[in-house]
Amino acid sequence: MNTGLRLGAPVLVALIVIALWHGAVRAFDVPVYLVPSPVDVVHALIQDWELLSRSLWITLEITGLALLAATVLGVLLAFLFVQSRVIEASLFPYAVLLQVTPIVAIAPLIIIWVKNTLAALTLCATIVAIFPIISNTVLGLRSVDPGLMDFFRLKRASRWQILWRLRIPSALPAFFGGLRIACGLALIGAVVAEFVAGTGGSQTGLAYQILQAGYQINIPRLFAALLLITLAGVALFAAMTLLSRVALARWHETN
Amino acid sequence: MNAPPVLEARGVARRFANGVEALAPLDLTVRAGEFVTLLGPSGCGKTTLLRIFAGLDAPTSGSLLRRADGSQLSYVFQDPTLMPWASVAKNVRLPLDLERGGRRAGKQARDERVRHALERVGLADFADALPRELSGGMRMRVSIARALVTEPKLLLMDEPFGALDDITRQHLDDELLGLAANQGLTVVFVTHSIFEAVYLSDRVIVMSRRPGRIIADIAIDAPSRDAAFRVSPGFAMQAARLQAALLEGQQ
Repeated sequence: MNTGLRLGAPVLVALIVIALWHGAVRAFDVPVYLVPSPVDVVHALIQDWELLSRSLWITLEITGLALLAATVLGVLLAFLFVQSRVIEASLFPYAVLLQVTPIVAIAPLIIIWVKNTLAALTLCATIVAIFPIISNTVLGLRSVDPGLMDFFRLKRASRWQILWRLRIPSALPAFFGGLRIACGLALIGAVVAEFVAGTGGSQTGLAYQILQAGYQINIPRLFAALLLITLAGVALFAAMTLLSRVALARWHETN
Repeated sequence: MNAPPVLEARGVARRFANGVEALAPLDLTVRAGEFVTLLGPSGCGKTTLLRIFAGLDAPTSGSLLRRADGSQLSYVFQDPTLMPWASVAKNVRLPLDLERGGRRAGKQARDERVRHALERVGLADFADALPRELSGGMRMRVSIARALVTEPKLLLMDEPFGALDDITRQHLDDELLGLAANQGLTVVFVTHSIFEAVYLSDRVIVMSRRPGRIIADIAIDAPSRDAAFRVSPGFAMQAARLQAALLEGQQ
């Protein structure tokens, strides 16, 4: 599929949806406090830009920190897991436990325990984002071509040489797959944690703006904040895809 | 043949953990400079024997004497088994890079040996290519260059050309014979192709189906190994002898 179509087709769909939305709101004379028109949303976005951009930055900061923490911790845990089956068997169920526990259920506790709001929110988002990194990296580190492994053993390669020259490169495609899932989850985790925290003051992310706008029935601003979250998610995903392409493009078939 | 033995298997047998008996006790001596082929049906333990020769597997009973240490031995697998993320040159350099301590040569010396090995298999122009950019036959040649770069004395090859088309295969057979003669290599070659066995070998070891035993140890007499030999009556006769021995092993 050529690039023009891949970029052009979704943009066309967006334009059609926006046009239909605008037309429907105008045609049925829907009040702005129920469904604002796209023009109202853009207007709110421009008018409240100072407020919204500050919140966007905070949400992105939490997402970025959480993604970084999830990547570093997830990769370290994956290395630990592949060192021995005993370690993996003892710890992996707890990674799953972390994954299946809804973050909204434990976020209040974390927010009570961790004084610093930014740290608490980052921790929540990290918990949400870490699982795909761990599981994909473990899978990747284990998916070594057995023939190549024989070759390394035949040449009496050290454990370190096998890790550095064989396991890590073999793990890269699966790792990047995990990273792409994790970046979306980090954003979701950040937003959910912000909802639960619901703190006022200056350190407020986009979720707080959505809550506030809802209370004040400022629906255009609510939509504008929602739009920013969505765009941030798409941008993050695109950035991770690009990163994975730069790292793997030459040798990996799926890219 | 009075050349010193490179491999001496005495009563070597292998039984897998699941109880399957892969190799019955067998004796085999391979002497320096010989081209010995292990011929037999699929699953007869040829690969197991080759892996035991390489030290990748250990016999359950019997003893194996190998007069070639790790650095003098190279193994070519059924598949090219190249690192897909590394260039041809880096793949060929791998065994040199893995050497440790005083044995490891400087980077320039290693690169020089890689260039030389690639020239020998006719891939000097593809040093920077990635494996996926090459054809199946070229990948196999990279794998052979990687085996030759350490200048081994003993080359163990497990059906290296099995997945290739006939034309490529015959071409690589000729290259292999040239290399073995030039380098004075001792080669143990596994195949299930009777014609390839006759064409390449000084000696063919015919094995029975599982558990693998040696049925026949046949010396191949070849005036010259070229296209004329492939279509000569002598070639056909020796192929027929191997065929008969193989059939006998099926009984």
